[in-house]
Amino acid sequence: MNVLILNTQVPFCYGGAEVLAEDLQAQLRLAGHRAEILTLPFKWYPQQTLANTILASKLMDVSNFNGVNIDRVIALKFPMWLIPHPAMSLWILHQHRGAYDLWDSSLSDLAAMPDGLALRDLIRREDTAAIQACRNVCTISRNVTGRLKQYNRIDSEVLYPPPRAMERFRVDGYGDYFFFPSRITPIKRQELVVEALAHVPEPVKVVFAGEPDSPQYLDKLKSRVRELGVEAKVEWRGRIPEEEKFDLYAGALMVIFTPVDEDYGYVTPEAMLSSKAVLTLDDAGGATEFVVHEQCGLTVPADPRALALAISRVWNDRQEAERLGAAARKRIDTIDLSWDKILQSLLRS
Amino acid sequence: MKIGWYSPLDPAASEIARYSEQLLPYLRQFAEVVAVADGADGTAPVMQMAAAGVAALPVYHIGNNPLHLPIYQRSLQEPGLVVLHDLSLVDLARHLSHQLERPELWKDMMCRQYGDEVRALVNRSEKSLADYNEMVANYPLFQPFVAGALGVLVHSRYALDALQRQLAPGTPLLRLNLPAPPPGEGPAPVAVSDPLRFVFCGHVGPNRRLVEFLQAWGSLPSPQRITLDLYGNISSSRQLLQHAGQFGVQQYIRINGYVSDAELERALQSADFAINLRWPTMGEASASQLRYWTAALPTLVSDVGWYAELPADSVCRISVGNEAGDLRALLEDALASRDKYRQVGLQGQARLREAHNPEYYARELLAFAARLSDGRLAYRTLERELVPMVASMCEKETDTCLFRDALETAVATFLPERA
Repeated sequence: MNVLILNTQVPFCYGGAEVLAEDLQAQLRLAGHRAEILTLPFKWYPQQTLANTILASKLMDVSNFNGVNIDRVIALKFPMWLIPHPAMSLWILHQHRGAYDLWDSSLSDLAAMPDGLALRDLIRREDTAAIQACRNVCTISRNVTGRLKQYNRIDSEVLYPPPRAMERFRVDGYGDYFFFPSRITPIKRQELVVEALAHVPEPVKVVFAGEPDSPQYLDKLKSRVRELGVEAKVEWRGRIPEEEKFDLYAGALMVIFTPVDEDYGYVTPEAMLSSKAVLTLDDAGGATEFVVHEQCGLTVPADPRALALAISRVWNDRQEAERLGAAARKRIDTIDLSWDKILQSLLRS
Repeated sequence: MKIGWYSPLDPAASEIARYSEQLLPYLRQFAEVVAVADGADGTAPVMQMAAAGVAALPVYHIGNNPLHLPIYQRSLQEPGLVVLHDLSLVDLARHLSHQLERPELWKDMMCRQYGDEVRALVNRSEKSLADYNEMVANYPLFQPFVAGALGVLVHSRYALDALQRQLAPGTPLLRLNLPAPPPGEGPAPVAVSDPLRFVFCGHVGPNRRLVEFLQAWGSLPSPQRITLDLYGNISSSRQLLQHAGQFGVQQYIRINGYVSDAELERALQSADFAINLRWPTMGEASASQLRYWTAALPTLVSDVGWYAELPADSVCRISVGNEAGDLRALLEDALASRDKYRQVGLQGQARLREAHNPEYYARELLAFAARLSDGRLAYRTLERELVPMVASMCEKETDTCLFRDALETAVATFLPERA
């Protein structure tokens, strides 16, 4: 089969979506297909650019190139599924959330646009029509599936993306630090963890790894750390090489992951593959699909004091961390993270 | 609904400001309205009142007064609803030319709207009143002033017809009667005796036909049976009095200049007749006419533009082609049959009450604004982005067929109800 993976591109940004597209391409090739990733630039502001991008997507023709038929396209992100193709499958990472679940939050830049409401309705209308016309509608988590059902009234199948190089996650022990790997950005709520540390009496340490979306935001966080007097409890590693990531997972006492309604989040399965329990929040989205509170991790309310209590508890009871970590590994082993199943679903006729 | 109301706001300086002052309370019954006099500096409060994903819709009032220049300039930055108070905006275009120090700009605007064949007339209009009148009457300049319009509101069929002829098909247009507060129950008509008291309000310019009126008046066998009170900006009063002297009526004219609203109202209540002639018309609906009707005054109007649309029993029409004859005949008849004309004034007052209701106007304007607000994204995408882009790629009209699919997809996407 000639398969095109349709993804958006934001120049100089590389994250989970790009990893997923590359892994999918590699797996398709391993399975004997010809697979290419086709990207279109995605800029969501100002409103006219977003409107034009929607229109541009609808005007694309990806049916065949140079006499080579495209047998299947797999669209991952908005607005790529608006590109017409008779055999389109979806593996939805997320929709344009500003038009959906984030509309009423301060995180939606659509809501600040002059005609944001009209644009929101346009996006919903176009999404619904295009997704309904697709052959296989899959998402990366129950969370994304739930939103699709809630806002577009469309059913979908959940296919959890396997973390890259799954076999390399290991456990070396349960050391003296909590590990928080993620981009440094408000939606991941590192700030909440910093606030929580002010309420933790024990000499704990949290290692943050990840690139900041903006240097200003990192400066703000560091400044808050100084204000709270928790410098000794925080370590900023920035962007780290893959090898260091495996090491940090392997040696951590526990993994902290506190995003706002995350679509999926590789961090959770990666931690569990490293036999590490995840401390997360009950509004963290995808993470809560894996973490069973008190069995293989902890889920607490999004409140610094609640988070602090959980951190103290695990710090003071290493055996508990180990017990939860071992259960986490068992749990992730029961979840089907195989590429075979994913390819079967996405290439289904 | 949230509205940014860009209009002159000092009622002493402009009739449009007075219109705004009277209308705003009605609008505010149904919508949140921020009124801004200066389109250049006053936009912040309008921006601040945006709701989630819905910016306030700007309503731009455009007339010939230079106070409208910053409003016009603002309208080019952000599309909105344009209320066109004059159809011929050549004076505003001249103010703009002066402000930008581009003396030929207004002429270029005329030629862009009507083609180069009007350039000779436009050039002559600077030196010849007859040519100026012909230009204003036959080539009203409005296109550049509605360039930023999502839709246009006018106050006459005359203006509506002109817009429909020249704007792109499908441009949202609305005609509403200029509003005025409903008249109170005035004093019962009184039996009148000589002299027959005429009144005139506003700016005296050649198109107000006062000289022609004085001439007809002077030709009567008993001109002393008429008086004339002038109110407003009578800047050319000396010249006017010279004409009056020439026609033998100078001693019956009183120049009052600007007076308070209350004083003007009293003056209108005690008058018998009003003069509201215009030729050429700038395509306006006359706020002064509504004042005269409020006072139940029979009024002389020229049989052109908006004035020609008024019911025949509510005004006294004077034809342009036989102006002198009509004026004299009417003055003679008015002196002979005063009761008949008193009835015309009362018909006008009834017309004002029925057809110029400000609450109705406010509701209709807001419904139109809501429709335009809903279509704003489509307008911006189709009219401001796609059409100019396609046009820039097409040398010949037939080239546009290359983009038929794109245009159809665009319409289906942004205007699904039209597809």
